[in-house]
Amino acid sequence: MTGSLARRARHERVLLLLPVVLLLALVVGVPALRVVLLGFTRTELADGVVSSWAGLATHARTFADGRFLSALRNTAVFTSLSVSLEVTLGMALALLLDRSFRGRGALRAVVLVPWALPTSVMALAWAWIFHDTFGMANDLLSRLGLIEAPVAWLARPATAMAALVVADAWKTTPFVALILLAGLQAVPSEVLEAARVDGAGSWQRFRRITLPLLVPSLVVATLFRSIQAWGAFDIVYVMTGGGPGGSTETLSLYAFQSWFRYLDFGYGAAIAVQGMLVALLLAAVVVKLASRRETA
Amino acid sequence: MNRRRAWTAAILALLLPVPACHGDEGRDRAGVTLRMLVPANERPFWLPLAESFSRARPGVSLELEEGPVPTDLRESLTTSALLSGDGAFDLVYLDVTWTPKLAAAGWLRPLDDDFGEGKRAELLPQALAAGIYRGRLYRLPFRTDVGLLYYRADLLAAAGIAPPRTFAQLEETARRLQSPPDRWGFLWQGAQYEGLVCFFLEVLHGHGGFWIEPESLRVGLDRPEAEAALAFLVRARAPGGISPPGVAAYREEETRQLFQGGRAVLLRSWPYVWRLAQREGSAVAGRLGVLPVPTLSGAPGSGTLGGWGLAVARASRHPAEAVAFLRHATSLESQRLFCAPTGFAPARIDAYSDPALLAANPFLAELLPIHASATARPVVARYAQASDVLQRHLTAALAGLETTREALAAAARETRLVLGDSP
Amino acid sequence: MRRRPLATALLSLAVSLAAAWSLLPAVWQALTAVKPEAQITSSPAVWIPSPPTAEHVRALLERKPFARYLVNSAAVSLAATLLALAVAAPAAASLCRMPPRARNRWLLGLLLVSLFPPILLLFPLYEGVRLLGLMNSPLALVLPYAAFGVPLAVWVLEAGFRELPREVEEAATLDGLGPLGRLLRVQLPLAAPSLVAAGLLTFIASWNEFLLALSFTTRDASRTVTAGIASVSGASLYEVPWGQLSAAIVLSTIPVVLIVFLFERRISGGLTGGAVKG
Repeated sequence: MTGSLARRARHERVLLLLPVVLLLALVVGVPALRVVLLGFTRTELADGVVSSWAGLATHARTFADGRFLSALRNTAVFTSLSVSLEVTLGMALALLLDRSFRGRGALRAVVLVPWALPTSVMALAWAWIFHDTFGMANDLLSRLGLIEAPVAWLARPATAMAALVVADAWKTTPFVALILLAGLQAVPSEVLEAARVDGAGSWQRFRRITLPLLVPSLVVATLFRSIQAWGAFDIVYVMTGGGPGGSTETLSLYAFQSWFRYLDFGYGAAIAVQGMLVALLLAAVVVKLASRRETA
Repeated sequence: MNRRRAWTAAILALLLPVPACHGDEGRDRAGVTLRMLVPANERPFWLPLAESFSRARPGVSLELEEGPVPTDLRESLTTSALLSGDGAFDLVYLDVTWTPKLAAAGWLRPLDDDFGEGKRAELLPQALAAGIYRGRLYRLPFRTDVGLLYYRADLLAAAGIAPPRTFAQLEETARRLQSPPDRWGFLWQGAQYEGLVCFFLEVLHGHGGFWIEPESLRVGLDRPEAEAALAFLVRARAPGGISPPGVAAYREEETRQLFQGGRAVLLRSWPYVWRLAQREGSAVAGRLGVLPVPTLSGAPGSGTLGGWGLAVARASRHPAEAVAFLRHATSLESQRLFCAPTGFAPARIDAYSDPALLAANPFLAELLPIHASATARPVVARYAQASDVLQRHLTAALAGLETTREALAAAARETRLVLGDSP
Repeated sequence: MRRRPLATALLSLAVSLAAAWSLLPAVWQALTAVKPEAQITSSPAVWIPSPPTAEHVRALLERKPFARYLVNSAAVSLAATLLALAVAAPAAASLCRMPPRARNRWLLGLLLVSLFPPILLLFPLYEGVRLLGLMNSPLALVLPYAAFGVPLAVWVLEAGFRELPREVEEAATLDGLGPLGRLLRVQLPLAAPSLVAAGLLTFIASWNEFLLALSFTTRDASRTVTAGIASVSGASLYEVPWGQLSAAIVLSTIPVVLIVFLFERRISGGLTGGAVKG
């Protein structure tokens, strides 16, 4: 009796999951499989696009490809810089929004604005903001007396990367702040109050009580954001095109160029797949660390 | 056993190119519709051509689909459309550099039998040659572009300086008349993109060098001429130079806006600047001169050839009508229809002496000699890769990541790899 | 509780910084949209347009069926959101009853699916869309947008459902409700904030998507707003019409910003309700 009930419950659970599985299989699974298989082929242009099975040979090309390694490094730098900036700023915003003050509702809406603007068009706007002559960034900085001569932001590797990180952080910090704010509001205020009565300073309360309770939210925010940043495309494509000297080219951009400009479908797929494998590895490490932390 | 076979079949199905589906076979001669992707900003000017075409050939119409304005976005759209091989577009409106790869991919129909000597002789020879890949004609030029040098005639005249013909004169003119940061000496396109390659090629040819010889596939980037050319670029934007540091992130528009605002003495760009700079509200209206790009010797330099042309998709189900449209679009009448309102440079030689066009755009008279000495970019299937290699190392040298010698040695090595690999 | 003046000053400083950081680039855009052409490219930069001009907005609306783009975007994003929620809600209901180990495995699996950046699926998706004859059909965008939104929606909804007291669900079962009945009559109404939050996340992501929108629509009449902006153009090939582009950015984001303002309380409330427990 209970056995059949449990079985029915299990069937129900599977049935309820079916739509998600079907949708994702159709839209993500099949195309992804196609890309993975493409990665094992070699593409040649000889009066036609000729694809032949190449086993691992296409994948092996990345090892000798300086551009792939540099794109991998750029992607890693971009992801780690932008995610850490977003988490830091997001945390600050969340802590601020968690306090009660006049106009909090308005501020909450205001900080969400960047997140509502499309990256593809805001990237154009950011390129303009970082324009050395007409841009807002140089204008503000020189008015504040922080720089003497205009900075050619997008013309130098370090500043171009910085500009990309700032633009990306601007867009996605609200997302992180939202998730952290949700976590913050679940921190029981009685505990904080008790600690305050015991004489714990605000930093100590944050460090000992709030932060540990926030870990799950931090993990979620970091994971989702890292994954998105790892696939960054529009913002780089529009703002720097990967330059100067290829110093801001990401893996997605390289794969895209290989497909749509070089017509090298096999290699583009190999780049995409290897990039994904590295991301998978990183995600696994984050999850492992987080779960260890949680059980400890 | 069965299961394994099913898997194999599934995998094969995924790997094999998607079969083309011929959906509208049913349509007969009564109404043929040709389709073509054009940039949104050009569509209004294509409409009269489409109309005059269907008047000339009743029963055939041309449907113009509006594509994005940025070239690289349209390149990827065109690629995906051709790749799917289902004849989504009958006609391809393509940049001068796309021809070899699209031809090598087998997506374009050879046009040798359709356009003989007579027709070919009507078109600008350099622009026509850019449509020939491995001895076969794939693309007819429709409108052209060429790199040139703009100068502030008023400033030069006031200082009693003759317009610069050599690189040394250019540097000196720029240096004497500039007062950075309010007015810079020389503006050019230095971002990591195709425009930088166009400019660099002009400097390279002006120094007597070459990039890739299309016949022998010889690479000339690690020769002294190339080093001198790149040194010129690096020197121009070094501290105390004649170009703003930001030039290494500029594309056409950034340079035009500065120049048009009266903030530079010299500008390397394309013919489009002329019309905009003469507009009301421009700080330099009526104060401009145009020159061929400079050389070491002072002989007229060779501007990089740009421009757009027409090809017929191999998957088209109406090749005869498509070829007819190519013929129509390259007639003097059509060129007049398209170039008079836009100010674009035509592809026909006789259009440059056409009274109607000259009346609409007097600037054309100055363009023909500049066109005559234009240089096309190398017609190789892996042009995009070769260009990207060059772009990366040029910008690396400009940003100080590599010395000129390192940059060019690496670029030469990688370019040889790219070309050597090609079938 | 009395606040010290220093703390109050710091707080207002922080509030102004946060507001400035979030709004400055957007305000800059809005100002550019009403700036006369010459002031857009002047240096030092002109902040306040004088006099403000409606020229760019007018030119944009004259040349482009912008209202059409907005309607298309709204329809596609709404359909994608509804589909994503319709698919994610049962999944979340199923997951929140699973043993933790299995549940976490599913949640992680969903996350892994989103590891493949959408841009890298563009090429096979394009083939699929052509094969199925979906070019220029809203379905070509609705399906992928829904799929890309599903993982986060499941995460948010599942956390929301798990907050609900278990007894409520058991009572519903005793009343003879099946899993769908429980979902529709009990879980979703009670977890409405999470539903709104998940829906808005999907809606905004769909509204903002660009490359698929560009690739799968070639007719102006079926374009969404982001793809439409790519065809905003100046008079010649290289000219970038900054004023018009800014006007387009402003017009295309006003609806989304309004939605954010309207639902702001619900979004943060929804995520809070779930208190996203990893």
